[in-house]
Amino acid sequence: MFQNSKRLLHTSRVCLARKQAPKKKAKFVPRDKTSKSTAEVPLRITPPITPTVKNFEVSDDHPLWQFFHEQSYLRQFDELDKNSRSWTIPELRRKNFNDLHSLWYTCLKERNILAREQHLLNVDSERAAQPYGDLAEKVRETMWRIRHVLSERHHAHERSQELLPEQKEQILNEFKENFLTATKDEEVELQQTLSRLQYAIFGISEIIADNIVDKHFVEGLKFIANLKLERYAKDHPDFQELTPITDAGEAFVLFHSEPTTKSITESIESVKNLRSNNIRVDKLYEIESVTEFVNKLVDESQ
Amino acid sequence: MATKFRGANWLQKNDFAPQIFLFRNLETGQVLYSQLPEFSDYQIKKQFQRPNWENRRPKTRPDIWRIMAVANFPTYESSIKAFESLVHLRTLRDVVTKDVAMKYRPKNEDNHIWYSGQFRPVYTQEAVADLNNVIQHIGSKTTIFWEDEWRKGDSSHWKPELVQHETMNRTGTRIQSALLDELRVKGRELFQKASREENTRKQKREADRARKARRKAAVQAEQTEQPTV
Repeated sequence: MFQNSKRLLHTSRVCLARKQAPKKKAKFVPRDKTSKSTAEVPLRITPPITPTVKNFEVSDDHPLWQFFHEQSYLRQFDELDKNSRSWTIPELRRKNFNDLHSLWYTCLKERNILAREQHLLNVDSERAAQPYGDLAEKVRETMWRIRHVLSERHHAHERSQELLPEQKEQILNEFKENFLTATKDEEVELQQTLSRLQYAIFGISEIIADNIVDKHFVEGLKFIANLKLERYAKDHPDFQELTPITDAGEAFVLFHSEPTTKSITESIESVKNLRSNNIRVDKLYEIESVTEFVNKLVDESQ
Repeated sequence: MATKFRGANWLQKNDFAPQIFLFRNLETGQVLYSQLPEFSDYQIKKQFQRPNWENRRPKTRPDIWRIMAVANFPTYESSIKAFESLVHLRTLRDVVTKDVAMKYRPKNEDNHIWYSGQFRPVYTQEAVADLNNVIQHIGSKTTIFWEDEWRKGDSSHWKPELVQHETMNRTGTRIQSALLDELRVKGRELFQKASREENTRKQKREADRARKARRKAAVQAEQTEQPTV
């Protein structure tokens, strides 16, 4: 260093030296803990963060709620219906198909709930899950009984279908006799019996849109039209002239009318109009024509 | 690719984003940290240094590892610092201060970590706590894409000025690698956009500084040129 620098006397070298005194070092003052930057804090273990359901919302109609009883995680032992029993077969026989259908799904959902609860408790001990299993067994019993009753009905239906061609005439005659001799007090019951008969023998459903038009349907139309005419318009002056109804178009008009004398009288006027205008449905195209009438009715109702 | 530690330059050159991927083991609940959208035996060896019957060294089977979260950092340096801190915290939990970690772990009646089969839920919860801890330690703004929002825990744990929570868009991407690649591209684009903005800000600052210096020099020159009376 001294070799490269300018050679001077020690007295003159002092003149060139830095005159400003070096800065004093600041005294070390330990900083307040709160003002420390985070980077200086050493890493330490913190408690685990547990997940929470608060982070999202579940709508009340979420499909998975069907596996929970009133949106509760687990029913207590006291909350279970321990005094209940399964439905008996005679009880179920009195129910119609729609009732049995809804009961089946109610049972199915209940069994799903019970199975979930049972599974949760099985982790701890099988004994704790026992009451849930017993209840599920009762529900299962109801379910096989529903199937049993439905199979009974199925077999009965099959048997009746086998016997129907032989006994059809007899059944219809018996029904006709009852229908015509019934009093006005039995009117409501009579209409219910008629709707059951038309469905059982001719396959005519009360809900128009469910019907499939075939030769049985047309046959049923004619039978019911004649039946209505005879019951509600026997005193009409044109009764003898009109009966029997053989045309499908005329039968449809009468079939569709309300079961009252007034409504049937109006329908008779329409039938007379059809006859005077010589509007008839060709026997060969009866099914197609009636299908058109039914479709029109469905469109109107919609 | 994920067979060794990767530095900031390497990540940038190879089109990776400043991200950390957290994979969750479906069987055991253990969590694996990775700098890349994939993992290998290297990460497992580094992050499970003291395996025992309660904390077995997991296998690399891809079918039992699912993505749990992807954390996006603003710079590569911060992502690397976060990754190293996470691995360090894992060492603290498993080796150095295991006694402290054990205090926080829920126990069963035999005084072992609570489990059902091979599954110990506390490992996942610890990883979430560590991620939170690391983000606060680094102090850089982070976006976390969660597979399930349920897992992030109560919002009071997280600092809203530092962390932004989002959920992965899983519709249409059923394959995990495709989903992760989508997130990588997204992270890369976000980084490039941020760095472009930062560059323009920097250039603007420098230009301002230069303009000020020029003006100062001109004023000084004017003052020196003034004739002395």
